[in-house]
Amino acid sequence: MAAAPAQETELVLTPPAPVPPVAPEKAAGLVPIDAAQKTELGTRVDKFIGELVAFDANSPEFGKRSEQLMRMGQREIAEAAGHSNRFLDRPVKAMGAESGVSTDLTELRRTVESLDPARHGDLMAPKKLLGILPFGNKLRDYFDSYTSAQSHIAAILARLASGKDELLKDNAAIDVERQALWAAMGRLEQMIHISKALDAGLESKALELESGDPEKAKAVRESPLFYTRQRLNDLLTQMAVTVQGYLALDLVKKNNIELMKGVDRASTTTVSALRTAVTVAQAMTNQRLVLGQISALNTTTANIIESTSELLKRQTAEIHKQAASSTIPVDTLKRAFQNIYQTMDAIDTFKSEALVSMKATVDALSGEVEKSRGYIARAEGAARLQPGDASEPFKLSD
Amino acid sequence: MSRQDRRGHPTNDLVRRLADDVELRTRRRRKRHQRTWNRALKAVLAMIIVTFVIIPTMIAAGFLFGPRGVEGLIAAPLLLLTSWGAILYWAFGYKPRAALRLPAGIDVAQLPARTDEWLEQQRRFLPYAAHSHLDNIGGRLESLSVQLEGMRSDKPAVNELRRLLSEELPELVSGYRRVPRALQHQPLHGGSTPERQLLDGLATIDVQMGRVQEQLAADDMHALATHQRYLDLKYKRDDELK
Repeated sequence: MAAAPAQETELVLTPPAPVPPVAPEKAAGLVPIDAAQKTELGTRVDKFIGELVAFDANSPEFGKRSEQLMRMGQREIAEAAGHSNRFLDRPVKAMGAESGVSTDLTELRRTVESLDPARHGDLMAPKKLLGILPFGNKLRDYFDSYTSAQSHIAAILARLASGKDELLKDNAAIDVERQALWAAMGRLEQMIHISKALDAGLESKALELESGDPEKAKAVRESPLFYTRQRLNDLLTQMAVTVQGYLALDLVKKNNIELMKGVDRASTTTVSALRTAVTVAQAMTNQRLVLGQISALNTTTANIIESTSELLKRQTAEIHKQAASSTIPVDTLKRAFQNIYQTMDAIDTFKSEALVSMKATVDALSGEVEKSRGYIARAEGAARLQPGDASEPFKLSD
Repeated sequence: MSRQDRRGHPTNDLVRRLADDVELRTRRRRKRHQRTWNRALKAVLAMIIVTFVIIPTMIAAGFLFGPRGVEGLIAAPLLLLTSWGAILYWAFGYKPRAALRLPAGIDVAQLPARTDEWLEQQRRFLPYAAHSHLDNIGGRLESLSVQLEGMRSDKPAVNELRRLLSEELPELVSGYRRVPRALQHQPLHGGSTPERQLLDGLATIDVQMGRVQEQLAADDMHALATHQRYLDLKYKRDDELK
């Protein structure tokens, strides 16, 4: 048996794996900081510690410096949190109710099913009036139904194409958002680096002071070191949420790409089936089936989707050959319809699987975002209570 | 070097920033001059009207009540000169005590323009060193007027701007003005002087306004970047994307 008309490589749509929760202690170090920057930050930390320890532990200046540590990285956290508020609704939206594409695919399936030769019984059997008198031609009537369905199909295919554009726009927005998140993560990483250096520096300073000036060692441990650890914790939590969000966005993007592949394939197989019908009609009934709208659409979609155009070119030749040579061209047509169903089934399976992994991701992310919100509220409360000097010792250049 | 390369060059960036700065200051100065000119024009116009009212009135009075002789002859130019003098004083001499605060309840779209006006009135009460900050803030206010047009007023950034312009900036300026002139250069508790505090405060407000401006523009910038990326994804082939 010759190859079926639209038998190409099997369409496999793989849903990406869900994003696992990122532990705060593992969140740091994912975004690289270059060596020059590290040295520069290190010098600033050393300078800060040197100045801090030079003050008397009871002087207002010592208190002021310690308070500065309390506010360290606040802006970076707020910025990253602002992004996470925005990206959280993206996977939820992607998961949410039937999008335009899904409705269009369902409708396409319904319309295509009504044209399926398998559902029209034996097309070769003669048509009989009241089951007795021979009247008309069943096959001819069947192909006539294409003419009436074509405008409907063309409309659905056009809607699918614009639905695909929506998915592309979604991905473009995700790209831009991820770029912003990457920058935010870079700044968080720098703040984490500073906090860690401060933590280590203050700790060793306190040890150093232990023998000579135990009072001051105690003061260093009680306020600057305590605040630093607190901030380090907050920064790491925010970093974990941000990293997770960054990965979740990638998941949504991959899902969209798969769905777009599906839409492409559904459109291609449909157009291909209609073209097969045209050829088969010509071969079997000598009927010229004119599907003007579909051909017009065909050229426009084929121009946009390069793979489609090549596929269609290859198929057209094959269809002609088979329809002409095959003894039972209706089977060729049936197979073309089978291809559409396979594609749509693949999309359905993909969607249900993708939903599971998306849901797992959203659940993990929501929990983390909730946690980080608590930290932010606390930090803001602290800032309100202590308006004082708002200068930041470790301000990152924008 | 292509034009694009040249634009990204650090030296050229510096030159452009300087050029922008000069341009801003020139524009602000021109605006101030414009204001003076407008005032002069108004004064001249008022003087002409007054002249054309007084002379015919006096002639008419002469006809109605009979000539007044020498008294009338002296009174006419005297009245004319006095009214001219009054107009000139109103236009250039008399300075109303500039209000310490902005009137409350200004619509946010009007706020930048009104603040700009108010800030210009404050200029002569503030030290010379503050003038460049005032220019910067004025420049930001100008572009903010454009940015705020048709913007929803419930955005957090808009609220922040409202607070900044209608409360925090006036508080700083009026706070400085309330300090007696003699004490403006005297350090407080060995710290910084009121003048220094004013300058630092203005600089902070300038920077914060820049941030708010960025926040206000963020949505538009985001949308533009997204659209450009969409065009890339849709029309560029894979090899071009890399």
